[in-house]
Amino acid sequence: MNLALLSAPYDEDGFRSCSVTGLKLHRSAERPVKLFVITAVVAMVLGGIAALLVALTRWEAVGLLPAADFYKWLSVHAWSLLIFWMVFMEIAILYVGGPMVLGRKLPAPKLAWTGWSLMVGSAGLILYAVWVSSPPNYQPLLTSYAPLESHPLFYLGAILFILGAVVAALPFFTSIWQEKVENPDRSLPLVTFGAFMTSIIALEALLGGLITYVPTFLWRIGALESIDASWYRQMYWTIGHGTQQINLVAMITVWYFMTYVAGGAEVISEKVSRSAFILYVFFINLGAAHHILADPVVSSGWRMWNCSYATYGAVLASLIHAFSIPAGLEVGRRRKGLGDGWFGWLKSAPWSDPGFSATTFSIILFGFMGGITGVLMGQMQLNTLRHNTFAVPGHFHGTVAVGTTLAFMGFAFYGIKLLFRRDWVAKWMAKAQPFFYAGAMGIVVLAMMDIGIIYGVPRRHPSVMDLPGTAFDFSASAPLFGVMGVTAVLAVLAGAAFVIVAVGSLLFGEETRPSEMLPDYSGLETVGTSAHLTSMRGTAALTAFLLFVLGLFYAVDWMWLARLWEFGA
Amino acid sequence: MRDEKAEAPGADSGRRDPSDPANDETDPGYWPAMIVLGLLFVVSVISFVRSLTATFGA
Repeated sequence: MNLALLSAPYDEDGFRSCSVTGLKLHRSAERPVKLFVITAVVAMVLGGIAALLVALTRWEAVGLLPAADFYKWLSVHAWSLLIFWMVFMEIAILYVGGPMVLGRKLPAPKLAWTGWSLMVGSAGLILYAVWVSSPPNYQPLLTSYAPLESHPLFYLGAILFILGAVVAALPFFTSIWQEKVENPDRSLPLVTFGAFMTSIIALEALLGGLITYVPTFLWRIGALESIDASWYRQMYWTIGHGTQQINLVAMITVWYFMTYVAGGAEVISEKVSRSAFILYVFFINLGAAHHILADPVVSSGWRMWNCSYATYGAVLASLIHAFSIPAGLEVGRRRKGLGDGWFGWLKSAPWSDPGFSATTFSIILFGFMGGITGVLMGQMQLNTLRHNTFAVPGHFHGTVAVGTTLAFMGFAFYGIKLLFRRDWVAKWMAKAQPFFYAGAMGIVVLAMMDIGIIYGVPRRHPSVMDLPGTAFDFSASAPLFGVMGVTAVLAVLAGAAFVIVAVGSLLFGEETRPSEMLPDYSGLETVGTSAHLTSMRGTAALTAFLLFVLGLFYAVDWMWLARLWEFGA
Repeated sequence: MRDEKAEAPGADSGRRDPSDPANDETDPGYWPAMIVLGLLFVVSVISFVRSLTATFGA
């Protein structure tokens, strides 16, 4: 790696001004951000290779790997992309949303480096444990359900990775605390507030992870005689799904940031957007309860509270963001004179800019794919339709592989210019990449959903066309597996294009001033009516369509649920 | 009340120069984006119809 990438023209105090965002950036924050982003991209490469192998195995016409290797690579895929790619990026987002947006130094930067070292070392430990696992040790996949025993180093690695993430997050918390002590009457900027809410949800998830993995590790090395499988499952999902909720809230924070920087958006109501973030803090992690709805140990009241009432609180927050972010984009662009009519603000938006296109695809596709399916699966009754079918990975590929990954890709595209101050190499590839990734991965998600919903194919078994000793016949789903396989290969190629642009730009990109390369809205004055009096009719139409689709799928799912009774007729 | 103001002439934004078509220019990436979203929409409709057919066609 070119170590010059970690430096920039700082003044004597270690600050520099970003010519695009106007932010004051201190080297103590900027350097760790770069390192965490680079590490995240490395994890993405590994996870992407594993994704290719997994997809070419589940596409049984290819059937690439034997079962044992399939579960090994599925574990690598899950941990590299669902955990490492995400969490390294999220720590970078905390540092951007905290000290960078606030124009502060990163407090205790050694903690950032310590946390990074711990996270990298433990990630290596987890992958090593996966690689050397053989019977009687089971491959952990993401869940490592006890009492199935995985390699002891896997549990140790998971504990250390969580500790590393907590340590890395401490400088962020300290910067928020310092800001409030020094400026008690000043509100945190919305992006900082979003990052702070993300960190609270993350802390809850990470503490849940420690409560889960420490006793499990002690049980695995023989220090504890037994472990309760029901206890494990309930505790595990505080981190198992909690980490995905971190992804969600971090992604939404990135949406606010990127639509402002790349699209010229405004925030139409700070209070409403902040209230939505607070709703997430109270309710989003409770949605994880849907994972154990089929478990016998939780009461009906517990199920109803978590998967009905609490879910409504989280969905309300998501619907608020679903309106306020595109509305902010519409209002910001209209007030700058960038577009007219119903959708002129969208037509004139910088779709040729991969930072904008990746972010906007993320918003749209997350809403229609990951969001709607998440609402349906988070409901106690409707969950029974899809529980443990292939539709479940369909859902979380809609949230994480499409929504969060595209948002983080857009964020990284801008990071290359704003932080590393490098121009993109292969600009045509950079511009086309979000389009191909969104299109290919979107079809992967739809195929997975159909395979699960229409045919009831189980989510984890590597070969379902010929299950010995059962009456199940899933052969009718073979063409859809073909669609999934082909588009998954295309999506991996599009992911590779992102890596080529990112790494190529860092190594060979021309050093230049970001203001010469990115959209500059600073010269456009917003005159005339206030944001609240500006037309939002384009957003109203788009979100009305989203609500219509949500209502349609809700109704159809209830119809399917009602028809289940006919099995017993 | 808000809608009336929003729809009033000139109240649509306080835009920089309403008469300048450059301010309403369609970005070259817009139509490719609509093609991608349109493709996904068509696949979604096919997927939805297939799922209903599987339900009622049996």
